[in-house]
Amino acid sequence: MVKKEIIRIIDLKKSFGPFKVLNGVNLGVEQGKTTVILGRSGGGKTVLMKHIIGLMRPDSGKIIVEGSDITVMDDIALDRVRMNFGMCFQDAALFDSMTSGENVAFPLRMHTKKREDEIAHIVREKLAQVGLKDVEQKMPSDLSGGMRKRVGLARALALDPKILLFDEPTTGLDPIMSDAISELILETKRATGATLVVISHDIGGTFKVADKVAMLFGGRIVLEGGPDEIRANSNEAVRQFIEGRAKGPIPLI
Amino acid sequence: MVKVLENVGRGAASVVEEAGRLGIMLFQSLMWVVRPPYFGRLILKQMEFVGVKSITVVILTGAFTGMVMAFQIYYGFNKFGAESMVGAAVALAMTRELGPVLTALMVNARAGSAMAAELGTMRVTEQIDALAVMAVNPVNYLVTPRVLASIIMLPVLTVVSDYVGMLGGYMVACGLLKVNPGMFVGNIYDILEINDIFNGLIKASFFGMILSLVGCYKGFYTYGGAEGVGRATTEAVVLSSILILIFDYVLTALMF
Repeated sequence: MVKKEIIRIIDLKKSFGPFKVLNGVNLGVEQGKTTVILGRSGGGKTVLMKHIIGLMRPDSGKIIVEGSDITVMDDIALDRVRMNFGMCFQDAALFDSMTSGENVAFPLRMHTKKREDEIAHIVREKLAQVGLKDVEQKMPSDLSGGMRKRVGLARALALDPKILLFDEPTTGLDPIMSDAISELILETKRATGATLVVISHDIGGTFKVADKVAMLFGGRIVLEGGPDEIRANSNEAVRQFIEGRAKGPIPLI
Repeated sequence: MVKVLENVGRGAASVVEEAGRLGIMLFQSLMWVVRPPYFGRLILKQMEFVGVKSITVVILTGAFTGMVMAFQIYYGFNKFGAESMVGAAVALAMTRELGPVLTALMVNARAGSAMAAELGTMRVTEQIDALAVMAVNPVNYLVTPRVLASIIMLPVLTVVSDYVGMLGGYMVACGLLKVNPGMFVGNIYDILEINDIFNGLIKASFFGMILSLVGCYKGFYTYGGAEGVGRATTEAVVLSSILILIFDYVLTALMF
């Protein structure tokens, strides 16, 4: 079977002042699969994700999305590519001046000419898909963290994207809610057939949802493979990370 | 010594950099005025926020400024028996100078700070990134409506301020200081020209642009959580107040 890559990152480099945050990242994301990028907090995971969706421009390197390099695109071309993406932010990033329903309706109002009753129908459907009902009128500030993430996912799903990005989907949630979100990610992938890219430092959730795990350390992908390969890896640094030990070859600061 | 020079250089570089980024944001926000998609409803909403909701403060500042001006000018003019000219002097001061400047400073404190705080919060909670990810240009969606609304509404508020200022002046001069009401009003008609009012309104538009642009800019590039939002808000109000006063001089000199 030929593996089809929907995203290919080639030698991506980005520095902030003297800090080399990404130092030559190479990574392929296979279509229809879930790729989890695992790394420490502050290790450049979010920066990498912001490059994938074109929120940041790299110092050098390429990001090929469906055959075209997004790092050299102008805003209009980039917006066209972004229509294929849905993104779930770490803290949901819901517009706090709008109700949950308006948040989910926002991309539909911006990019489709659908009538209000059609939009209301889709909003209800997407919210149901993430396990919520009767929250359309609630403001984001009235929702719990887990519910906000679900509304954020519903908003990301509104335009039926081909690629879904999750920025730390389980951070800041209790273990039960974390697992529920992991289940929701699996369920979303099954229901939509989308390609998922998840960045995380949550080991349990990662092994649950991943088809492929890539470990980001020191600005590079140091290891990639299926969850079982990673788990069986005997490298001391990898063991330290997946077992969550402070002592080991990876320095704390 | 080298350190001192280094710091001076770094300071100068950051000023130039900031001015450049402000200019780019101004260019972008005005470009989106003509380029679709248009967000007419957002512009109206901002016009309400910047304009309608500022009326109370503008009336209060305008009225009291006109009233105090009447006292001060009367004190001066009384020395050479020109009390009847108090009305014209108040009118000139309000329309050419105090109406636009005080309105801009008050709206800056009210709306400019709110813009910085709102956009700053949206930045640190990734709402601005969320807009971009959903293929909605954040400058078009957030900055352009605010800048446009301010450019339109500041002259409108200034007209209100000019009017209540003269009214306040009339009440003090004619009510308390017993200036002849006919002379007060008549001299305004004789001396005040339509260009005096226009000069003030052009300034007001310009100030509207400054306060909204600086507020949006500071909010847009906020970093560092809640503290960052606070810093952005303070910097926005201080910087735009200073710019308003500097450009007040520049515009006055140009239109003199």
